[in-house]
Amino acid sequence: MSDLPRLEAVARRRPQGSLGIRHRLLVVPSVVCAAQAAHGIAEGAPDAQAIEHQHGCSQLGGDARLTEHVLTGLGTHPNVAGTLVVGLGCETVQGMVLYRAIAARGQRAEFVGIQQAGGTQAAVRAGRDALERLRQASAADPEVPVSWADLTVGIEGGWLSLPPAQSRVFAEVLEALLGAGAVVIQAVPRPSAPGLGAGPGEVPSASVDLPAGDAERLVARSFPARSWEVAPYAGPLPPARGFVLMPSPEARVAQKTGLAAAGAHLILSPLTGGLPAGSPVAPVVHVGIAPYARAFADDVEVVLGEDPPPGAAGAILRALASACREETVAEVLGMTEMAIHRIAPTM
Amino acid sequence: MDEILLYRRPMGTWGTRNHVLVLPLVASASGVARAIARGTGAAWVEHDYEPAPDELPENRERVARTLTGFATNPNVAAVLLVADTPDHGVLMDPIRAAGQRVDLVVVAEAGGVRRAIAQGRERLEALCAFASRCVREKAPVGELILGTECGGSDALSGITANPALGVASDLLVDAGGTVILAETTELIGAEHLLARRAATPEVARDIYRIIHRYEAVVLAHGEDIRGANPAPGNIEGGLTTIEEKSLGAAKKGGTRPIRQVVEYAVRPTARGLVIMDTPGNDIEQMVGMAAGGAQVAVFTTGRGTPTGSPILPVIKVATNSATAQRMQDNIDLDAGRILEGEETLESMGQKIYETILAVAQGALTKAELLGHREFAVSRYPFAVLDRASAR
Repeated sequence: MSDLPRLEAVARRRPQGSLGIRHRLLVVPSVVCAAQAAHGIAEGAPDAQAIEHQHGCSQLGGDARLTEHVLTGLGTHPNVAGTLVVGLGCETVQGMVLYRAIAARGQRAEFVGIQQAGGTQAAVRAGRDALERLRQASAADPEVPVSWADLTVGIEGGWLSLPPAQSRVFAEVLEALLGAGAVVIQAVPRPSAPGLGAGPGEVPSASVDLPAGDAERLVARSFPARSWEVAPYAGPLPPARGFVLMPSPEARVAQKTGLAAAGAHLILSPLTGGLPAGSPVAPVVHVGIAPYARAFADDVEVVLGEDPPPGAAGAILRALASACREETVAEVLGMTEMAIHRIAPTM
Repeated sequence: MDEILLYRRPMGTWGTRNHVLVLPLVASASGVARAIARGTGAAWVEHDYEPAPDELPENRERVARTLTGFATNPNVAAVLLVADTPDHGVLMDPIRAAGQRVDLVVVAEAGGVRRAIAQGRERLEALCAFASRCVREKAPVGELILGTECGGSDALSGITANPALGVASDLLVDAGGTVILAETTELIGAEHLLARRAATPEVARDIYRIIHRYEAVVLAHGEDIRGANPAPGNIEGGLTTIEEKSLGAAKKGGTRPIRQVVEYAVRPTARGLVIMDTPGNDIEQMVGMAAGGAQVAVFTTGRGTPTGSPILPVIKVATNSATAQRMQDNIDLDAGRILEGEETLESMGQKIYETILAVAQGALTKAELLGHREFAVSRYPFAVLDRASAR
């Protein structure tokens, strides 16, 4: 068992009681048609982050609801001090509905409609005013010390299929976090992504049983003494704190989005293929898995060799701790990709 | 005017713009592509396509066709591809084989994100230097492929802007050009009228086939097309049914014979009026038409849709003067003047046609001035039917 480093970090307490390890203003287009205006609003404001996505219109019911569900989760993330929803006016995922859903969860929120405001430039002007109101209102969120037990850590599923010498390190990290009282959400990639517990027309539900796939068997083998609960993709999390499994698509960016939308303060990303990628709301700590990730040594927090030394888990835990205090590499590089899982094609 | 000034491309096509494009081949390369393009004046896109191990070959092919077509659009002078790993860089070959000027950055080979950005900057500079030597030359108007689209439609779409665009479409077809009518989901209910104008019985069959196929897809997903279409804004704008929306939407293509039906993101081989099988989603449709070789687009809107394209000039025509005035930052032409009696369908159609020619030769559209550059990758929609017929 690894000793947890002291966190020595402060968080901001939100009006609804949650703690944020970042203090960001989020600009959420409810539909792809509003992405440009959202981008224009956030441009030049270092504390503001615009989400980029390609959805929100001419999606079939199930996907439109999933888009709304994911955007609501991101918009109410504890690292977000205030959320501005930008709508167009004629879209399927209506900006006003999204705004109400976010505000109903106690989040500071504002809304700007492009058609209502009178075009892109007018919406950008109105949006910047709205951001300023959110900025001023959130300035009073008090700084409080934060402990591991206050944190929710999301872990991508890539490590589940690593050789035992490497996967053991992640299991150790996970045990240390759970032992300290943190909530851990483990994404479990499911090859048949269209399942996800949701047929077309329904929001993924928590009542779904996981299939007895390799990943689940590995989780069971790695944590014989642990019990877990299952949360739907992008949340909500079960009320009890502890170990949560979240069935997710295989695409890593979509796993991150689901973990972030479920409220993970921090995301631990084993880089087993592809590229490092961030998230618009949660700092992402990358562990480059050798041999693949040797080329990415400059882009990750920790490189995990084929035969990791005993202290490897400690290095990952220290990287998680330091991500609570300072920017991760992905944040420094401005990597904030996101992808929303889709069940059906767009009409 | 029979000749206009366009950019001649080695691919044998003609462009209305001279973009250098930075194109990520997978979603996770979007951030690197953005970082390379930032501050350079190059066009770039982001998307959410990640190849999955269990991906259908039909989907892989559709996405590859879309990205290849977009990269070889005649408005693109040169393209820099960004891939994570070498196996995801394979689109380099068909793009080069098409005659396009292209280079590739593979992040894993470059030695990480930071080095890939530096390497990409260097390669982009070389491509920009090449593009800066391209100049406009005289070209026949008939080299133009016009993409037509309507979005945020209202009850006036089928009365003012769409039929006026139809007049412009006829003028371009008569000048030897090509007009793409698309958004199959918004042709549902108009198929019998379109089939009557098919140039051959095969084309008529294709028209019925693609429209019935989309209807079947929606039903097979256990959904009703009416749940997504007309969209909430359409209904607020006075449209009551998909059929009503379709009858208005089909008018954009004008009245000439329909020469060909092409799949999504496929370049038409016929000139004249053609139909492309695209989703009604505004962005995916525009990307499909661009990947099919359109160099300019006209987009009619009732409610006021601001979207553009990273590589196509998109001309916005409002169906009503209230929207044209409220969203004057976004709207290029006001077809609501037809209702006021200040224009006729014919005079408005002529104006749209003249605007198309001016924009093709370099006049900037409002969407370009505002920097609109929406992009999305359309997924293969027919898997659900393939599975049903395999059973």
